[in-house]
Order: sequence, then C-alpha cells, then structure tokens
Amino acid sequence: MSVSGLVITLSEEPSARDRALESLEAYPGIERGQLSDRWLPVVVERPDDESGEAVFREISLLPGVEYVDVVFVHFENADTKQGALGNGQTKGMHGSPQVTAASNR
Amino acid sequence: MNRRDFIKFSAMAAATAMARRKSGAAEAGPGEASNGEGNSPEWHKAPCRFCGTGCHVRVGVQDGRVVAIQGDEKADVNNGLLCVKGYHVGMILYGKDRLTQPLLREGGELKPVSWDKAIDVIAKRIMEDPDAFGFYGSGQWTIPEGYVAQKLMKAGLSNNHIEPNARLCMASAVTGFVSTYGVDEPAGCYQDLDECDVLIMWGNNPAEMHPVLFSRVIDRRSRGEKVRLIDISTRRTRTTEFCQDYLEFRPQTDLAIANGIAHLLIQNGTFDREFVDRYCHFRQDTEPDSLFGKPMSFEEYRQAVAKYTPEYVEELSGVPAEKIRMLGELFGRRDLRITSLWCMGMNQHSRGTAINRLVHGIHLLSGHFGRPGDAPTSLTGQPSACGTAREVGTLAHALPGGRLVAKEDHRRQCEKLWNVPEGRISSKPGYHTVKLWEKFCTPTNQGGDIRTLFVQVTNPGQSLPNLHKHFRGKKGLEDKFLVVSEVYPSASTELADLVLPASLWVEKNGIFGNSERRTQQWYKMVEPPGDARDDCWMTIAIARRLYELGHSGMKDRDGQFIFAMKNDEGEEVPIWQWPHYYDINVDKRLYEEYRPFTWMKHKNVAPYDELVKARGLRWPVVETDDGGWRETRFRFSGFDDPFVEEGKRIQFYHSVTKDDRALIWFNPYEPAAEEPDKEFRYWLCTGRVLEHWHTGTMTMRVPPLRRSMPHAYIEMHPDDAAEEGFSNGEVIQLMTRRGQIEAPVWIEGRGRVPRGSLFVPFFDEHRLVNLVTLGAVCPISKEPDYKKCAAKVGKVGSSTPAMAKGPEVRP
Repeated sequence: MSVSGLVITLSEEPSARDRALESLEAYPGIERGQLSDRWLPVVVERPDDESGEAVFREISLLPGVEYVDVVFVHFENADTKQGALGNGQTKGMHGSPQVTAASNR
Repeated sequence: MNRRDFIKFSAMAAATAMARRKSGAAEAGPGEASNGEGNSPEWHKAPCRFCGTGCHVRVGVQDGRVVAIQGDEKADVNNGLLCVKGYHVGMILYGKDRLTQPLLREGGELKPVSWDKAIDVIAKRIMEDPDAFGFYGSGQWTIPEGYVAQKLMKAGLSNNHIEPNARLCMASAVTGFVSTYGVDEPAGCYQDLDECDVLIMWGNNPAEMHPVLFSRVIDRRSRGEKVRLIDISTRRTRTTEFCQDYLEFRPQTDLAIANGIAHLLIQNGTFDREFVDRYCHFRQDTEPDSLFGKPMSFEEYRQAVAKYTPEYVEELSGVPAEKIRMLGELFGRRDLRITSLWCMGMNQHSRGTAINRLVHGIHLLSGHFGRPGDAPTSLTGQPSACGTAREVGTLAHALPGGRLVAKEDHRRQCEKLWNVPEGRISSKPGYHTVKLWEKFCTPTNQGGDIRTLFVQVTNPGQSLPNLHKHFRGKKGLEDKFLVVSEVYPSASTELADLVLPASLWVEKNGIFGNSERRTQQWYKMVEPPGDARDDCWMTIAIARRLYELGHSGMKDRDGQFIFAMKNDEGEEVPIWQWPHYYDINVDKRLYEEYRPFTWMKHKNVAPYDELVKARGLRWPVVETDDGGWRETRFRFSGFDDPFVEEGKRIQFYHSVTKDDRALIWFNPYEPAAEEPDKEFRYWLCTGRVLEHWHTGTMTMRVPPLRRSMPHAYIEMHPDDAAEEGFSNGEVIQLMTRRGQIEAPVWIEGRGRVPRGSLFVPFFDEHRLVNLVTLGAVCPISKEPDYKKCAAKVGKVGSSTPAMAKGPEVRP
C-alpha cells in the first residue's frame, strides 16, 4: 500500500481551476480535502509506489494544475529491494523527470 | 479507526494544514500525524539526510523500520514541505545491497572478517607509520563524528592529514568569508529569501538543488508579492524558467561581471558611501596570492575596476552591456533589498576565492548588507558542511571553532581544552584533499607519503576530480591501504582493502549544522542492519586499540584515554566496545566537549538539551536573563546579533584589520585553467540533478528516484548535436585530456546549454564524469574547478579513447 498526502496548487484563473477540480473527480483512489483558496489537499492511495507515481505525474499535467507538493509519504511496502548496481539501462530517460518538475517547481 | 484509515487520516491532516498555510489562513490547524495510536507509527524528528538546506522531517517508525516520512510543519526551514528526495529519504535505509559486515581484501577478494580483526588491522597500519595515515570524511559527518575524527588525528596522532570532502564544495566559500569578514559562515539566514525584493542567483540552480528554499520565494509570488529573480548562469536550468532575467555568461567571466557592477556603482555615484566609510576597507591580492592580501585605497580600487565598463564586460562575458547596467542600477538602489545566492557554481571555480570575495564586495560597496533581505549568502550542498566540516576543525589547516593549526595560541587553547600535553598538536597543516589523494596514489618511493587512508561518509572514488590521477592511481600500489566505511557498495569500495559497514542517518544519534548556521539534533530510531556500526564508534574503537598498543598520543596529560567517558555514577563506560556504546549518549558528551571551542569566534552553539527540544537553533545561541536560549538570525547586525556592541548598526567584530571593518576586494578577471581550443572545442560543466544526491549511492537505491532519473547524460545544444550528427538519446563518447566516458546525449532536455557547451551530472557510478574532469584548484582555497574544462565528443568507436598528451593545466 502506498499513501501520499499532496497539496495541489490550482490555477488563479477560475475556469481553469474548475476544470482541474472536475478532472480530479474522475480519478479513483484520490480523496479530496477542503479547498483553501487555490490550494487543494488530497490523499492518493495506491497498491504500490510505482502506480502512485503515475497518478502523481498525471495530476501534475492536468490543465489548471500549476504544481503539486508532496507533504506525506507512507512507503511501508515500497520496493527498495534493488541496488544501484546494474542500473545502466538507458530507457526512460526522457519520460519521467517531469514528474518531479511539478513537485518542486 | 483501522490502520489504513489512520494513515490516510494522517496524510490528509498534513496536506490540509499545508494547503491552509499556503493560502495564508491564520490558523493552519494540526497537520502532524499523532503518535502511536493503535497500530500506527511512532513519530520522531530528524533533519533530512541530504543537502545543506536542513529541512526537518517527521520519521514514522513501526516494528523497528522507518515506514513513513512527513515534512515537519514545526520546522522554520521547510514549514512542512519537502523536496522529492526528502519525502523518499526513509527508503535510503532499505536498499537490498546494504553492507552488513566488515570485509577485508585477501587474494584480491573482499572476505568477511570480524570487527575485532578490522579494527586491529587499521590500528596496526597506523602504528607502523602514524605520519603516513590520512583520514578523509565529509560534510555528511555528524558534528560528533567529525569532532572525534579530528581529535584522533590532531590531539592523538599529532597528524593533520585529515580532510572533509567539503574541500571539494565549500572551501572557496570559507576563504571568501574569512578574507572578507575575518570569520567563516554566512551572516544572513533563510529569512532573507522571505524579505528580498531581488534575488540574484550566481551560477546557482536552487529550483533543483535547494528546491524547498526556492519554493519560499515562489510561494511569495503565488501570494501576490513582487520578487524579481535574476539568473546569472552558463546554462539554462529549471531555475531560469522562474526568472525575469537570464544573463548567460561565458564560463569564468563572472569575475568580470562582478567587477562591472562595482565599476558602475562608483561611476554612477550610487555606492553607499556612508556604509563603506564606516564599515569597510579595500584589499587586493599579493603576488603570489594570499588569504589576506594587501591594503589598497579607495582611489586604487576605483581605478582597478574602472576598466570593467559594461562594454568591456560584454566583450569578455557575452552578457549584453545593458544587462550589466541593469545590475549596476539595481545594486545602486537603496529602496530595494537584494539577496545573492550561490553554491557550487562560484565555489568550484579555479578563482573561487576571488569570485566569492567580489560578490561580498558588491554587497558591501552598495550597502546591501545586514538588513533582512539584503545578504550575500552561500548555500551548502551537504547536510553538515557548515556544522561539521567547517566548524569542528576537520580541514587539514584547521582546529575546532575557527582556529588554525599554524597559530601557536590556537594550538595551546585546544591542547588545554583537550587536556593533552603542550606541543601535542602539530603546527604543520596537513595535505588538502587533492594533494592528500595525489600522495596516496603516488608510489611511496616517489614521494607518496600517505600509505593508509580511512574514508568515512563519502565516496571519493566517484567525486574526486580527474579520478585516474587522484583515485584509480592507487591500483597496483602494494603498500597502500584504503579503508572505506560505507553503507552501500560504491566506486570507493571497489578499490578498498577494508570495507566497514556503517550505520546510516536515523540508525544512529546525530547532529548536523545547515547552511544558515542552524544546529539540528536527532536520536537513533532504528537498528542498523546486520553488523553495521556507527562511524563515531569506529573512530573511538581505533583510538582505543592504539591506546592498547601503546600509542602515547591516545593518553591525555593525566594518562587517561583521550575519549574516556563516564556515566552519571562516575564510572568509566567502555564505549569502544560496541555493546556498551549506547550505554550513555556519546553524541551528547562529545558535543558538550566541543561547545566551548565555539566561543572564541562567537559561534556559540546551543546546549545539547536545547537542541533536543528544537527544530534546530542558529548560532550564535546565547543564554538570556530568564535562563532561556536565544538564537541569532542576522550576524553582525546590531538589531539581532548579541555580540554587536550596543548602539552599533553593524559591527564586523572579527575583522581582519581588527577595527570592526570588512574588506572589499579587487580581483581581476583571469581565464580558466583550461579553455576550449581547436581540438577540444567544448566547455564541459558537471553538476547535480534534482532526484539524486551527490554520488547517488543513497538515492539510486530509492526506486522512484532511480526511475525518474536512471542514468547520467550529456546535455548538448541541438545545433551542436546536428553538426556532430548525433540524435537524441544516442550514446556518444565524451573525451578530455584526462580520458573518456560514454553516455547518451540529451538534446532540449531539462537544462539547456549554449552552443559550445556540455553538461554532465556526476551521480551515475556507471558513467563517471570525474574520470575526465580537470582538478585544477583555486590557489587559495585549494578547491577544484568541476565546472570548466575543455572536451570533445564523437561517435562511439570513432576516436582513440586515450589519455592525451599535452599540458593538463595552464601553467
């Protein structure tokens, strides 16, 4: 089980903000908290941290979402079983770095 | 509430509190997950293990494992936020290849041995030739670890060959501070980021390297505040995206830009004459360069900077003259508050001391100093580069609390505090890092007089420059012996003769000191795996074995072991025996022993018990009349610094000239040690990425971070790539006069280099960019330049991957 607490910064523009809120409704496993101005707390629950990352990435790219901060991570069952050695593969380089762009501005 | 619901409730509480705080709500509400309810984690405080920002995390522990991480909302540094590395910090403990037992190389292979044997081997190597022993650590040493290491060397072995890897990252900041103010460490603090009107980043990429600090500024914008961000850099980074101004300069010419600003301040008559008259003198370098130089008059200074006209600076740097004028005008305005930030871009520079001095100088010349938001601030890349590496005396020329081995009165003070005989501390500075490794990698009969080297908490096999010369040269030298204490196999353990498994982060007690002079304490929360043990214990155990072998330096004046400790009943505790190490709080005792050293330079650190209660306290910390303890945000400023005499606005009370004045330096622009030419036509710059910390030994074990950034790359301009015939992602060769590596080219990636430039991150142990870096050092700080050397690229197999002939460094 992977549980993360996120704060989503929504657009200043009201219609874009509404669109983002509607899009977020469509995601299973996301629990929305109370909106504070344009900052929305959410909890994401997923079976593993990899699928949690995927949701995080998708949220970051939603129209009307400016960025996403992570403030809580529970990773009890995370797969930390792999060492660094042998990770010389090159695939994926252009894929996921933008995940963290949103989380850290 | 079941366990799952409790965890979700905790996550939502944290997120809600943060959302309310970001929105400016007066009452954010409780965001902390509560402690130990039912089947839920126990929560503890600790600073993050990674960079020098010093974010505090709440660590959730259950069944002897770290299971959750939350940003600590009680921490001033991060107010509950963490970066992508920070919220995964707990996972660094659980990579499957943790080292769990001592390993001794026999017949070319590392084989398990007992701790007793391992300690014995080290002690006997030292006994054979104590002067040929070196100790190498880092800004990741906790304060007690660094303190105990340098005490073993300086007070025990009378040997100053100890260095932290901070020489590779912060030494130029140190010499910049010391030669300007007479004392190390920044005067300002992170509050400057909350109050500045203009933030200038000098070769600095805080959006990736110090993201939580950068978010403080970006959050201000989100709330409608106006902050002007200026990026002065040699490549576009994620930071650039947030800046109103981007000034791209030719590498090394930041020296000219700073002088250009100084020239304009004088020419326009907008420098702060009153500030300069009351608080400053002018200085220039001697021949050869020296830390304190020689005096010059204002008129001489004016003439020296006069040639740095905007047009001349444009000619050197490529930055348009109007942009130089813009900087000059901003610094000339007294109604604005200006903060400068820098880190490796200015420090890892063959003229690192000079550029540090010059940036301090334009702040002093313009009076942008000493008010919240007006500050020249150097950030650190490691969690305790300030607190440990710089302050406890782990540099080869230093003693604790800003003292120097070369000064007799400083040595006598330390000998007295340590109760060791007068004359015990050697007056000869040890080798600086590059020299230390050079000596270790040189055959003994050719002058390589370091034969045994003990490495803790760092990975020199990946982070030293020009690794062929400074690390791999050890191969085949039969009488050299490398001991590496590590948590995971690394480029350093590959060549080690003895590997010691170390405890990591919350597997031990610890104290760090961050970039804003904040000392932070935590307690051990979980057991280390297998037979891994604390670095501090290792050092004490070695010292004890030396004591047993009869090394006289391991005894104080009274014949007692130099690390003897007693419990509350007055009985000596055998802390060198691992089962007894935690019978008492060794960290607390070492830290309290260290505290009096901090008083001479008015860097008074808080008592240990006060640190236990706080999320760090910024030194100097002084006791108040009511018995409380007060930290200091702005050093040398009368409104906040308790050591400034009453009625004074500013007082540089450790000034080089002993008259409470700081020094404004002139240093000329000088070319880089190696610049592109016809054959090696690119500039090569190295650095870091958001997801990985330092050499990646920890973060490459964290699956989400590894997936996000799995390997290093060669960042290249699309026109250069087209000209070379490279496609995006193609694995190519990168060559310098030191060697070659292969890595995929990344065009239009996260960073954007200008034409003629390349950037390669250094976190990837499979693509060791430091095999090809230069290793030229600043003549004063001895810090290497990792940001500039000449390189060429080619298709894989297209060139001879040879160590080239020709001069390595311009004479």
